[in-house]
Amino acid sequence: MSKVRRKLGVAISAYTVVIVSMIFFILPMVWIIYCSFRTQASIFTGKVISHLNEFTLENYETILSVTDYPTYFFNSFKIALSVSLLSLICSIVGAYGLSRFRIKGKNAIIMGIFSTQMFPQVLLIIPMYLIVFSLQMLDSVIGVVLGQLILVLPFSIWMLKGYFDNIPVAIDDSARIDGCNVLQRLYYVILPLGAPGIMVAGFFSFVVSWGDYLIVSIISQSQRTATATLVIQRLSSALLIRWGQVAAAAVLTIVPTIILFSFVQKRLVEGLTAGAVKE
Amino acid sequence: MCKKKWILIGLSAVLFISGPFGLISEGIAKKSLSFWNMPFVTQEVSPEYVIQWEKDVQTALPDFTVDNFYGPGKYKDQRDKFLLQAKSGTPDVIEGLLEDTAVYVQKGLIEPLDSYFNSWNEKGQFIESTLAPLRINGKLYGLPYNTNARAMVYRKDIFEKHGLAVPKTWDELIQTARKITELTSKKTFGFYVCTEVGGPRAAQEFISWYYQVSRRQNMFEVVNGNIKFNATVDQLEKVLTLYDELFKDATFPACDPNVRGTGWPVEDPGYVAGKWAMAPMGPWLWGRRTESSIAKDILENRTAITRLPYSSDGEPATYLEVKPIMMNAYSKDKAGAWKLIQYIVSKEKMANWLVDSGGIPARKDSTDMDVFEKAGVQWWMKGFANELPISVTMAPVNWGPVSEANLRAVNFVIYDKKTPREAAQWLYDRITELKKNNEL
Amino acid sequence: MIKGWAIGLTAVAHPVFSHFNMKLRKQQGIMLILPAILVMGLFTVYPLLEGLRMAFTNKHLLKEGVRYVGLQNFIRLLSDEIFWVSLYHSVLLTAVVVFLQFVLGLILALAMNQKLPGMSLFKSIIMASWVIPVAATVILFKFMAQPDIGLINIVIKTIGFENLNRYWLGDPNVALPFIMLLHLWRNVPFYGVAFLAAMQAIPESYYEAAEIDGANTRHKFWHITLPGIRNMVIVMVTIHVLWTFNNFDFVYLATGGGPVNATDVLPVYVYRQCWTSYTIGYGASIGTVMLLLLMIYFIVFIKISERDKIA
Repeated sequence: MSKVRRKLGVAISAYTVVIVSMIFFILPMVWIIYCSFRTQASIFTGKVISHLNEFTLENYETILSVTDYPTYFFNSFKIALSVSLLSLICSIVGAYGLSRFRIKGKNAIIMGIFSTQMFPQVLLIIPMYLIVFSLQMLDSVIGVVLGQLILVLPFSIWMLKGYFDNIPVAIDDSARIDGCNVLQRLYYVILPLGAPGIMVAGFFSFVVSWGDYLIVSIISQSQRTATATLVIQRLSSALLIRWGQVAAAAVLTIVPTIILFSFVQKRLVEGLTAGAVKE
Repeated sequence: MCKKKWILIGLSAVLFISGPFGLISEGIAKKSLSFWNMPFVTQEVSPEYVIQWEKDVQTALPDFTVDNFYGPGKYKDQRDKFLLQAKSGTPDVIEGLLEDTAVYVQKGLIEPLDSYFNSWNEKGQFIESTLAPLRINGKLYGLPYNTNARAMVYRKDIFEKHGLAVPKTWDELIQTARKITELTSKKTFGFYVCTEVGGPRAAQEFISWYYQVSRRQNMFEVVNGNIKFNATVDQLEKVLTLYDELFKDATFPACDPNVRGTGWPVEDPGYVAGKWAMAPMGPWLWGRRTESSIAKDILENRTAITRLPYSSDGEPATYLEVKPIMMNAYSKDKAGAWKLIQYIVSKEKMANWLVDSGGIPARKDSTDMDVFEKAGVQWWMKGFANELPISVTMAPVNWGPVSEANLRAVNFVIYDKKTPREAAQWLYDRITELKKNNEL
Repeated sequence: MIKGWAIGLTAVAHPVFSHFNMKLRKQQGIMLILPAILVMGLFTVYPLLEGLRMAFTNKHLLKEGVRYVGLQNFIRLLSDEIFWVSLYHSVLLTAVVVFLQFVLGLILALAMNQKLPGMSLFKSIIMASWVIPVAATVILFKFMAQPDIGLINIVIKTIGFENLNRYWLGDPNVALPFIMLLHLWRNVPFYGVAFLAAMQAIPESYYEAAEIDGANTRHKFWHITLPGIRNMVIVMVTIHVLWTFNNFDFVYLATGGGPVNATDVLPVYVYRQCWTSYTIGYGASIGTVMLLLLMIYFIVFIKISERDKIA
């Protein structure tokens, strides 16, 4: 009897948490999606419910055809993919090295990589800009990519190291005895076993790069490299803010990360927490 | 054996990294020019005009492609970005505020245009008073495309309905504004003034009030490269007292206390939505007719323009805005950049731009074009043009930290953190300190 | 000391090495981490050192002639009101946000840990707020905070508080809590999901054994669940203290530090020093103070958690 009641109580409180969270976390997104289909006049009525004739695809049409949003969107994609790819290469290899090899000053290296996260980025960007400038990489995709790499590398390396540490060394050892060299071991042992973690690291890099504002705003100078995030920022600083268009651009910018997220969400937790869960 | 293997690995890593970027790297385009121009980004000019402009530039400059990325969306961001990266040669041409010009000149980032301008047969069309502020240390650092003086827009329908007189002095402004707030039971507040720290408009409005109490004397004077700070604590106190009175917690305050700390993004839409009856304004507001039928009605039928009310122990004065088009000193193609500037400030382009966005052309022949009459905006332009004789331009110093300090002092007062006197003293000390630290 | 940090950072046991072929392995190891070190070295370690160096100069973006000024910048800090206000806000923001994220994340995780219908769907969508760009998040909330047309004000009006209609980010009493809300909105689901993962890694047998001993729900929570997710808590809190304290874009994009100084935090103040006053040297000295504070936090926090572990 009391057990049933207790279970019911637990269920009720759990669902209360669920409902409150849905309102708090999901409703704002639903609202902005909703508003992206309304006309400026409809939004300015300050009413929640609009007449049917106030719904429109115009916002999306304008964003996609009048502004250069598609170019910027494609730039975002190009940059985020490159960042994921490069950061994966660097961090898989680096994390493997840190996880499996005894390296002089290993702790100092880890500490060094992390200390850069403790300094305000706004100060790093000036010297960073000067480096990119002297490398002649200003306003190029590779310049932006290299700049963004530093945002993702520390976390990626750390996460993957945690993940690789959980893969038993015995498997490595037996592979080595079978005559596999380092790269072969990395390829045949670590990649398949570490796949979930690697997927998550890639996803993480993509999301960070996709959402980055500071670095792009410093290195990009033209529509060759400007990204979707910059465009939202620009639209929202327009003299006459057309909220419908801002909402549409925001929705379009959110969509890719959400789609990607739906692919990895099951693995996400596993990967993010690999290092931490282990006793 | 081992070493060889590692060299191989290193090589393949290099190939792997450069592979995707080899594909990604952009093909080299034909001669390209870039132009950073805020009004094209913020839609101060309509997107339709921008599209037309882009079409026309192809015929006017057939040898070039002009990048249609017009820079970041805010003057401040644009300035920061240009300061940091002008040396890269991008953009070739930049639009800006007059305050920006002074900063760029300090840093040696823009090209004097005297030799180009003097050999241009259209130079006589430019109105001298709009060129003067762009002459720094005897050199011309930009060509003006737009000029305007601040005036006050007000709702003539409300004034007529209640039989109110249009205020001429600060005291009348405060009293009338409170009256309107009361008469409309806060549906329409009497007045609006920008108080956002870091907002350009708020800084310009502050300085308008200041020019009145200083009797049109500039806050700074640059003599032989030395900066002289002219303001006194008393003058600053007067200006700050005005802000204090406007937001004072009367039952029916002159300005809505809920919009303290906001800037033009609240001022302009608020006026055309009927939320305030008076506001300091420039001609750009005309562009908001398209926002809604209410906005159209308010601007076309219910608005009149008058002089900014002034301090009774000062004289009428207002802020003169001149917007320049400048050339990057590090541009890789200065001849091309000059052609682009000529196109931007050509007779038709300037006139059509300003018909679209509101503004007074800096060329006589543009002003004489019939497009203004056709668009029915002559009365509007004239209202602001009337103020040009009493307007003052900003001294060529680094205004950023000064404007920020000015508005901080305003915020101290309107949020009741300091009395006008204390805030004035703080402001005076702050600017003196900036000057001492050589930060102006 | 460095070892302590590293252990804390990785919070994992090191794999056991076989001693064979050790010299070769060392070389290979260095080769493996070289790409990462090169990129990080060029793009952050050098800028970091450069930043530290600038803290002792009078570098001004518009002026030529940089010279070393010793500790002058730091002395100026001591009497800089806005610096202290920003520091206070930064510490307050970080403490409140991380604490609330921890508590709310825990509650969320406990709810999600119940085997109830619909829970897996909920789990799969709840983290969406974490993946969308910060710029989009800020726009979303700015839009909702608009007077008259924003959802917040519409709701407030509907329930009869018409006079509260305002731009919420423009109210000095509300702006900072509002920024905190943005942080919570973004990160609480991440905490929830991470804690959930840690909870699910706790062997079921622990709970069964406790039940046999007659432990009630509260006991189980305090003595099994919490210690079970301890490592995860350490990791989450550590990285989020860093991220929150150094966070720039939320505040900058939402309020820029205003109204008055209500939302001034150190990273935004640094930005203003560099880009409004152009006094990069002074800005760098503030950045150096931030670095020092975070390092001290880091050492203390790791020491404490290491000590607890041993005890």
